[in-house]
Amino acid sequence: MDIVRTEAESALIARASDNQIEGPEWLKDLQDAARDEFQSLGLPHRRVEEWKYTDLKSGMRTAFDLADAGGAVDVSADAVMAKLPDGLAEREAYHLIVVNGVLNQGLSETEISGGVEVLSLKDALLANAEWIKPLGAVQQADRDAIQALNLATMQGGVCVRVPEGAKLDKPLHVIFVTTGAGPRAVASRLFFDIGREADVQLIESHVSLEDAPVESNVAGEFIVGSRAKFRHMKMTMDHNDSVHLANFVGRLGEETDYGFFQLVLDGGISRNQFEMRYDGNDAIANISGAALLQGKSHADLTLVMDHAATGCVSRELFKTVLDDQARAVFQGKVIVQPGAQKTDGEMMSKALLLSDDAEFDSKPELEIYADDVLCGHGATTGQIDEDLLFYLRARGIPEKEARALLIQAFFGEALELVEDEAVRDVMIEQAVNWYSKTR
Amino acid sequence: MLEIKNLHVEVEGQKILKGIDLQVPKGEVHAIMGPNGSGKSTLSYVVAGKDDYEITEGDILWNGESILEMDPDERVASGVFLAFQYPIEIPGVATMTFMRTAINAVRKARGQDELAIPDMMKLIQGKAKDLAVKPDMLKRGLNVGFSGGEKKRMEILQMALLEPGLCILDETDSGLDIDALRVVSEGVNALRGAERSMLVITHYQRLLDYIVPDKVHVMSDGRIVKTGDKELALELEASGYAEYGEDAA
Ligand SMILES: Nc1ncnc2c1ncn2[C@@H]1O[C@H](COP(=O)(O)OP(=O)(O)O)[C@@H](O)[C@H]1O
Ligand SMILES: [Mg+2]
Repeated sequence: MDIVRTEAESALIARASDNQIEGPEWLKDLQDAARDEFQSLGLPHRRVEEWKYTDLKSGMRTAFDLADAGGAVDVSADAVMAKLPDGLAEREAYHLIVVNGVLNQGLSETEISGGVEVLSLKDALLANAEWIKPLGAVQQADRDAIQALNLATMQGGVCVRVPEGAKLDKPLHVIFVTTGAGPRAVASRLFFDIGREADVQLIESHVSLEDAPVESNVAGEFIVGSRAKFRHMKMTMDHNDSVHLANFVGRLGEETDYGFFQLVLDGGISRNQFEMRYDGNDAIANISGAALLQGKSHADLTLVMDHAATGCVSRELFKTVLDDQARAVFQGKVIVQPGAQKTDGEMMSKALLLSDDAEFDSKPELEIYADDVLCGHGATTGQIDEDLLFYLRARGIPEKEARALLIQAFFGEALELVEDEAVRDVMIEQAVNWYSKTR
Repeated sequence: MLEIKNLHVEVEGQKILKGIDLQVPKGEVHAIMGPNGSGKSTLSYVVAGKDDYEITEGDILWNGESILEMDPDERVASGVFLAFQYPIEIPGVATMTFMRTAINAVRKARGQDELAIPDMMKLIQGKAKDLAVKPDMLKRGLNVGFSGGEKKRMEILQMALLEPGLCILDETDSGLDIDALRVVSEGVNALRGAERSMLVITHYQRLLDYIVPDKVHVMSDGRIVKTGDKELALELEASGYAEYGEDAA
C-alpha cells in the first residue's frame, strides 16, 4: 500500500538516514531499527490512539532544517545566560550548555566532585562504558514515532552517571540552546544513571538565541537506583511557532523518590510525555506542572505511571490556564500490574478557561490488575468564579488585577509543589508576567 | 450621605426590591431589620455594585452623586464598603497579599501614595491586633479554614483598613458567640464618627445592644415598612416578625 507522506515526513525520513551519530555497533543497530520504525509510522496523527488530540501530521507541516552541530557554532555563555528568565541564571548550579543538540564542553562545568561523570552523548558512546549500554533500551520496545525519530536523528546530548551515595551540592542545570539563522530543528537526549542513595537535582531549560521558532525533540532516560532522590524541573522559553516534543522514560528502583515539575508558557505546539515504571517497591513519584496558554498554543501532557511493584505512590497535579483559542490535552494513565498491591495513585488535572474558544481535552485512565489498591483521578474544567471576582472588586481591587489574582491562585497550588525556592520564584514570576503581558 | 430613591430591583424577572427609600446622613448609624428573604442582602449587594441585579427604577446617591454607573472597585474608592453576610473563601490567595493589594489599589484610586511593605505590615498587623485577628490567619489563604467568627472579624478588619465613608454590615452578627460579638462590635464602634454613615443589617435585636443605632428600619417583602428609633428594635424582639410576613419560629 502506498502511504502518502507529507513534506515534513519525507524530510524527516531522509534525515534519519543521513544523520547517524558515531558509536558502537549496538547503537547503529538501534538507530537503524528506529529509522525503519519512523519510516513506517510517519508522524503521529489523530488515528493513532495516543496522539488523538495532538495530530502532528497536520500540525507540523514543514520540518525545519537541522541546526548546525554545536561544535562549529560560536556561542558565549553570557549570551546563553542572558536568555534565561530572570533569576534562573543566578540559581547556583553546574551549567551544562547544549548548543544545537550537542553538549558544549567549553561552555559547561562538567567537573563535578564525588565521582559524578558528565559526558557528551558522543563521548559516552565512543567510550562505550557499561553504564551507557541501556541507552535507548530504557524505553519500551514498541517505541512511538517521536521516540523512534529521536533515536534515529539525535545530534547529541548529555549522559550523566551519579555514583552510589553521591549527594550533589547543587543542581545540574542543562540549558538547551538553539541558534542559527531562521527556524531550526534539534534532536537531543538526556541519559541519567543515578546510583543507589544518590541525591540529584536537574533543571532543564530551553532557550533560543534568536527570536525564531524551533522544532525540538528531546528524549530523557532516567535510571534511578534504590533510595535515590531525583528532582527534575523544566521550563521552556520557546518562540510561539515552535514544536517541542519531549519524552521522558524512568525506571524507579526501590524506595526512590522522584519529583518532576514543568512550567509551560505558550510556545506553539508542545507535548511532554512520561512513562514511569516502578521497578522496586515503595517508590514515590510526583509529576506535576502548570501550563499557561494563549493564542493558538497547544500543550499536550501525556503520562503513563506503570506500577510494577508493591506499595508505590504516584501523585500528579496539573493546572492549565487557557485563553483565546488555546488547547490543552491531558492524558494520564495509571497501570497497576498484577501483584502491585498497596499501590496509591492519585491524579488530578484542572483547567481554567478564560475564553469560550479555548479547549481542554482530558483522558484519565486506570488499568488495574490488583485488588488492594487506592487509585483515583479527576479532571475539572471551569471558568473564573464571578462571586470570587466580585468579592475582590468589593475590596477595591480593579477587575484586571482581581482576575490576575484569581488566576495566580489557580496555578499557585501547583507551583507550591516546586521544592527549590529559587526555581519556584522564577516560575512564579514568569507565570505572573505571562498574564500581565497579555491583558 | 447615602440616599436611596425609589429603588426597584429584579433578579431573573423576579421583583425583589419594590421601591426602597432610605437616607443615611453623615455621622449616623441606621439599622435595617427584617425577616429572611425580605431583600436585605440584595439591597447591600446593589449598593456595592454586584451586577447580577437589574435596577428597573430609582437611584442610589452617595455624597450627592449617583453611583449606579460605577464599578464595584470604584465605589470602594469613593468610600462604599460592604461587609459580606457570607465572606468568600479564596484558596491560593494569601490573606496578607490580598489586603496589601486591596489597600494599595484603593489608595491609588484615591490619589494617595501606595504604601511600602514595612508600613503596610505595621498598619495591617496593628489593626489586626485590635480585632484579635491572629498573625497566623494573615498567612493563610483568604478565609480558608476560618471559623464563622474569624471570617466576620476579617471583614471588619478590611473595613477598618479601607477607611470607608459608608459601612454596610450585612448580618455581621450571625454565627458569632457573645465574646466574638463584643469584639466585632467594639471594632465597628471604633469606626463610628461624624464623617461616616453606617447601615447595619441584622435579623436580631441583640447586635443593636452593642452597636446602638440612630434609626431602625423594618424591611419586608422588598419595602421599608416602618421606621423608628432604637426602641423599634426592642418592640420587634418582643413581637417577632409575624406581622411582617415571617412565620413565628
Ligand atoms: N441571585 C438571585 N437569584 C434569584 N433569587 C434571588 C437572588 N438573590 C436573592 N434572591 C431572592 O430574593 C429574595 C431576597 O433575598 P435576600 O436579599 O438574600 O434576603 P435577606 O438578605 O433579607 O434574607 C429571596 O426571595 C431570594 O430568594
Ligand atoms: Mg441576607
